[in-house]
Amino acid sequence: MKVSFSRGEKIFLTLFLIVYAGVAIWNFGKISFPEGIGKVWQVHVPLPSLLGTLNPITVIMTVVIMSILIYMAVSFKRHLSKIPSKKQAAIEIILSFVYDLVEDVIPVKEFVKPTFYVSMTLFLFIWFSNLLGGIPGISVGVSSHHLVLNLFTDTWPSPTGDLNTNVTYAVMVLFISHIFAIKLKGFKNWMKGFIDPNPIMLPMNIIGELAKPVSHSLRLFGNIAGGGIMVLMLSYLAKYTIVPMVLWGFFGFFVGTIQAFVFSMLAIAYISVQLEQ
Amino acid sequence: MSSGVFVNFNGTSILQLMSFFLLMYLLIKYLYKPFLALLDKRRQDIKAEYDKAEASKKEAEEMKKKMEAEMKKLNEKISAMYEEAKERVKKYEENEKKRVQSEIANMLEKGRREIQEEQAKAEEALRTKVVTLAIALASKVIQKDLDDKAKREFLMNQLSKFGDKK
Repeated sequence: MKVSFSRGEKIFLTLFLIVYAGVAIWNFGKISFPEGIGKVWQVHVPLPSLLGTLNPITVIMTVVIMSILIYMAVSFKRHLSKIPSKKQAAIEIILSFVYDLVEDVIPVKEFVKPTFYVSMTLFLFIWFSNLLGGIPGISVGVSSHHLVLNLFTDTWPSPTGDLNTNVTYAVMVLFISHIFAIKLKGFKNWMKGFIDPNPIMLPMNIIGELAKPVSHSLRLFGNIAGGGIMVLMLSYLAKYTIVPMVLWGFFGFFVGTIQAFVFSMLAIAYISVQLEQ
Repeated sequence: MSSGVFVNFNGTSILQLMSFFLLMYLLIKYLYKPFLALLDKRRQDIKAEYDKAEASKKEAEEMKKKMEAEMKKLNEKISAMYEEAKERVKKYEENEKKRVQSEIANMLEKGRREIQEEQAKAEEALRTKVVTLAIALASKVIQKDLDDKAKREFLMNQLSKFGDKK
């Protein structure tokens, strides 16, 4: 394969490499160990102890992602037409992909739409927050005694890198699946499901159900938060010369997309398991 | 302001839950419902088009069948007409033949009659001519010497021959 560049491309590439190398050399002498690693900014509000602590970054980023999604949705509805534009076609492809998946997996037809709503919202929210985790942006870190503002030396903080989000969503999926099951089978039959082959299996079934949200939430949390910390450490070791861009892109776009898909896919699977008779 | 370990579980979760349901509500309202309605509409449109196409196909097939039947009928008619025409032509030919034959026969008859008439006429004329000739001859002979008896006899014979020939 022969690679050829036009004049403009050559100029762009040269400038890009010069800037990249310049930033790397500029950074080289100034890197100190990221002391705030493993710590997050928290604020206290006058509420009982567990509820009184908030992670402001997570809340802010959640609001940002929500506004992006709602803006997209409103513009989708406003420019809706039978013959789709490019934007509409792209959104339609994503939506119909998940919808087809839900339609295939869910055995009861009347639960297809609610499941689609839940899993699609999960997918969009998690996907967008993971993608933000792959783009350099502004974040607030914590040093030993004070806050540090990171201006484009780190990615945007993603809400899925916070355990609160993941655990909440996983537990919510568990509750939703059981609520659907009770709606479908009735309370008595649902209770019977726990002693399904034999009453001896009751503790096993309960543990299995409780293990679901744990693995569900920790998988996503580990991937996103662990990815972020790994990038930080590797960048420190390589003195921010060349590593972050590639790794941010890898963890944000590649792993992020896969994990968002896996999370919503597992949500669909857990719901469909509860709906099977 | 304070900091905590990054693996934590606190009040943020309640906010996340609330925000999730708010997001889901808004997305259902602005994204999913219109999307599903669009899908349904598109499916219905396609189904309607398909039905239309099917109906027109059926109609075309029916028309084709009808046309074929009509064609068959027409063919039969044509063949019947052909037969009839053939019959008529045959009849006409026969008639014509008969007519021509009879005409020819008539003409022959007529010709024969005419010939006979002509012959008769000619004979008549000849006879008159012969008679006059004979008279003239006779007068000439008589004018000459008619003494000879033998000559007279011969003449009479000749005359009688003429008479016989008639």
